[in-house]
Amino acid sequence: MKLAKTVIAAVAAAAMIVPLAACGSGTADSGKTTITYFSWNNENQVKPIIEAFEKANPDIKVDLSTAQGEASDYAQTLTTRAAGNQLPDVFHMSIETRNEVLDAGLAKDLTGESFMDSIPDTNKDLYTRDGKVYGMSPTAWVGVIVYNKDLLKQVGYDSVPETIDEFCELGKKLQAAGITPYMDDPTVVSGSFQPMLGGYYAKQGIDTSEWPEMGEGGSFEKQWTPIIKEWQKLIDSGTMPKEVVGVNNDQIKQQFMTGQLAMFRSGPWDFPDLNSSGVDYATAPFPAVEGGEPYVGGGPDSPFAISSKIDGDKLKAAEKFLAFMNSEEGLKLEEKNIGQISVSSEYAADVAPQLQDIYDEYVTTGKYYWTNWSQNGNVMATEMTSQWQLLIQGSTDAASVAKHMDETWKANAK
Amino acid sequence: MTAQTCNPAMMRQSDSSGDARVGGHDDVRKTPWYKTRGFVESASSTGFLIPVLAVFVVLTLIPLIQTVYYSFTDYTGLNPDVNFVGFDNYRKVFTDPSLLVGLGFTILFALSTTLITTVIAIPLAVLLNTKFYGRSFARSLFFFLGVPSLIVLGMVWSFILSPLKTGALNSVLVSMGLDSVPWLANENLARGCVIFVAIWAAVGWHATLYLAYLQAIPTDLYEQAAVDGASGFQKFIHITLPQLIPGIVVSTFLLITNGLKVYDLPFGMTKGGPGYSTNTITQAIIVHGISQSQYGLGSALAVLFTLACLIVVLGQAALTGAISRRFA
Amino acid sequence: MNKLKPSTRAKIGVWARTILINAVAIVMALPLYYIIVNSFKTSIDMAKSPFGLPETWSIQNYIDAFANLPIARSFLNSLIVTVVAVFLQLFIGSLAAYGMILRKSWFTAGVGAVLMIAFCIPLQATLIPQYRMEANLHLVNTLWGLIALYLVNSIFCYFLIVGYMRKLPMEVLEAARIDGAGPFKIYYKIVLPMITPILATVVVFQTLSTWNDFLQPNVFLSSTDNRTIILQVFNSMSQFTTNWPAFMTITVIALVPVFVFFIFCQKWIVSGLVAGSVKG
Repeated sequence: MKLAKTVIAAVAAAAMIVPLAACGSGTADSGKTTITYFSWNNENQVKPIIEAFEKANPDIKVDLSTAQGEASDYAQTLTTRAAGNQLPDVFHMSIETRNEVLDAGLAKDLTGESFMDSIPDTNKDLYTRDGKVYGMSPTAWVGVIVYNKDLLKQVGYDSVPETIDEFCELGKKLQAAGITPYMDDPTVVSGSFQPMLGGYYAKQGIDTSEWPEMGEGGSFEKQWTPIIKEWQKLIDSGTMPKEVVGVNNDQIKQQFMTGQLAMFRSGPWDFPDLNSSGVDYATAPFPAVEGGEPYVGGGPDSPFAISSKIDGDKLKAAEKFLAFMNSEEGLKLEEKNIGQISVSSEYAADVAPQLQDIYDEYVTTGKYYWTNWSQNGNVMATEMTSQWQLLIQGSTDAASVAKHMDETWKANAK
Repeated sequence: MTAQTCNPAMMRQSDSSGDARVGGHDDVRKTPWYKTRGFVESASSTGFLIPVLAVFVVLTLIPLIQTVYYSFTDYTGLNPDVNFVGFDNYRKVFTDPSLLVGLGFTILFALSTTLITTVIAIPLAVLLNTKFYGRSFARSLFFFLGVPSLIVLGMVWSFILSPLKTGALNSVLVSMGLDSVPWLANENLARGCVIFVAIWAAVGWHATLYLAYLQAIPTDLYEQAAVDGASGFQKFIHITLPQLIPGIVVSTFLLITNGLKVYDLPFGMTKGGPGYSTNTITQAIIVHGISQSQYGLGSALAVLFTLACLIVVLGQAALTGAISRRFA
Repeated sequence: MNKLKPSTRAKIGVWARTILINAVAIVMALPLYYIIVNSFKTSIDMAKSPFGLPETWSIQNYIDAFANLPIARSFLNSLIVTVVAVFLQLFIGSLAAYGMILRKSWFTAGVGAVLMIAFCIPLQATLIPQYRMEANLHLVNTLWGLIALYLVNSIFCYFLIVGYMRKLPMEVLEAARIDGAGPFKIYYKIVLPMITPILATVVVFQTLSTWNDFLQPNVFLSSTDNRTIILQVFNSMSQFTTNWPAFMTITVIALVPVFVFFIFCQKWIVSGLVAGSVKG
């Protein structure tokens, strides 16, 4: 039997390799403390930071794993690992999972740790419960409109208008010139709606820390419907084409980089790619809806958390790791590799020149917004994304979207 | 291995005389009972089944029992505190419109891919079994379409079927003077696209399976039919199809179970959108159960879905069984 | 047409089929062309002309891929997992099929029904319990743990094999038994050689499905050293900065060994099938 012999030979060979392979990854580096770190960003971005940390701490090895896709994939892997008692020693909470993580007591209390001193209160508040802080977020992200200067000039504009009606005017002119005006990623929570909502809340003096749409007496129907209607002007005027549903963020970026798209929702994480494309671009805040003001999207980055299950050397190593991530060296690397903006007092962000104006006028003045779900974040984010896809397609309306958000909210209330 | 042992004529004989083996050669010469054929055969037959049963118990049955248990609890996957909540999770499943849409698409996907793939794969296999130039090239190519992983293919296709004017397929249409089509941006078109890609990937695979069965059909059947003056179509209906019945049983069984369990492809192509239009039950199980930390709800969904699969598969088995008997 | 000589008609038929089938095959293969051709382009090139040939053929994507990712290691992992898992699946599956045809009873009928049910249970339904089980046994994040999970697929192998086995000439098995061969010897010496064609088919199919699996490696393997090649493909993408030509490149790299395997095995399947249908 030729097959049998071949197969047996192959298995024998493999059987010899497997134990070797297992040894290679398991028992090496004895004498070192190994901590597992499950990163939010992709490996190429994080690796240089880890290498710098290991160089500074030769007795610690970081076993890095990363999320393959988006926020929901991160939550998925984190949940599986927690369920199997394989919680990473250092991991990230997020807006979407923080309630579940804190309910389950998976994160260690970081209150009073020296590395927490330099973290601003806004970044602590989100991850504080009963006066104790469970996450360290030394950086922030910001989402803006990136526009192609040359394409806007073609239709007589030097900058992005500051109200939604004027913005849609620009959209129509660009369309007439055969240029796609604007797009944002429809596979995640709308990157343009959130700042418009934030700008509205700010102008109206609505306190967002009490969750106007989710807190006592509030509802999405009451708070969101008028702003959804305003936002819909983007679709009705053709400023954002219906075809954006069914396109992913990378395709959108490519459209922009090849000069076929005038504006898209983006941020510092895209700057390296955009620079390589040769497009002359600049950034702008999102236009104001009626009764609102221009605003940008943004918030604290997903904070580092230490597993509540570890102690001894591992805990010490994990604390060193967090301290490094909030040190000048660490923050510089995060800025360079991941495009994260330091808000820690350890290091003043060296903002990319394209973002400087936004940084000065919006970030440092707190004019950025993102909905912080007070519970079931992933459920709400998924529902919102789906409802928005229907909205863009024109198969639902603002009132119905808000109603669905309310229903989902109530169905999952605790 | 000799050609003799696989002589098709012998196979056919054995079909009709297969039952004779049970009662045959019972020439028992005072052997002790434990050495009698019946016992040895029954014990060894059980022995051969033990590994597969062990796999089933450890990897499927025990986890499934745990899943059933969790479906009655508020387990989040993160929090070790687990409380019984009765049928709450099941109630939620039946009142969530997104899940009902997902169920509808899953069934549509499973049925349409099974039907269309079968209808295309059989004639394709017959064609690939005839003489023409480039035969091995064509066979390889069709089969090879099923080789890359479906999630990778899904993402590649999402580029090709991009609804933008500059999308790969649309740019071809536009250059031919046609209008661009909003492929994945429209609920119904997106459903159609996902089903189309599934068929595209599966057809070669299943044609290859049918080819294996076709090549086991004794050629003398065709020779006899040719002598009787049968046309090509008559041969196909009266010889090929009935001889392919076992192949059809296997192929449709695989198609329907894989169709119900589909996850990678729609996820790679559309992530379930637009809206919930191409959401599948398996994706819903993952999303609710794991990403959204509602493991109890995901488990309830999994339990109901397993039951639904059973019903569909038993239906399929009954149907193909009836067809087999009809042609046997 | 009817007046043409049969040999002429046959020739026309051959040519008609040649043109038809090859044309369809080429159209169907366009997405593969799309993957390959774009792996030689830059992002911008790809967006400008998705189906066109690159302006300049660049292998930079390939150089980058090998420089930035531990591809060899991932290949080895995939190879180990696939070879061992497929061998075990095949062994367990064919043994079960043999046990089923050996004797018909309420027991085998029951097992058949149970296996059919088992095949219907989606993997997602058992994922977390499986993870907990493997975590307790310290099998999570090991290749052995992954291989163990893949044993579930032996049920699939069983289904493919049992249909074929039911067609075997029972007289041969009977004869061997009268000659005094035990059940296992009959399985090894007689049944296995007779079912080679279907075994080859199953090997090819299982190899591909194991090699291509994404869900389970993604959940069960967490460290970089243990990644399979498909997982590596996915890891090359990230939330905000996907470089699609790079993705196409890694896809091509991941496909090459499967393609080579497929080229070799395809010959093998055909020869196996031919042996099965020789005129006797």
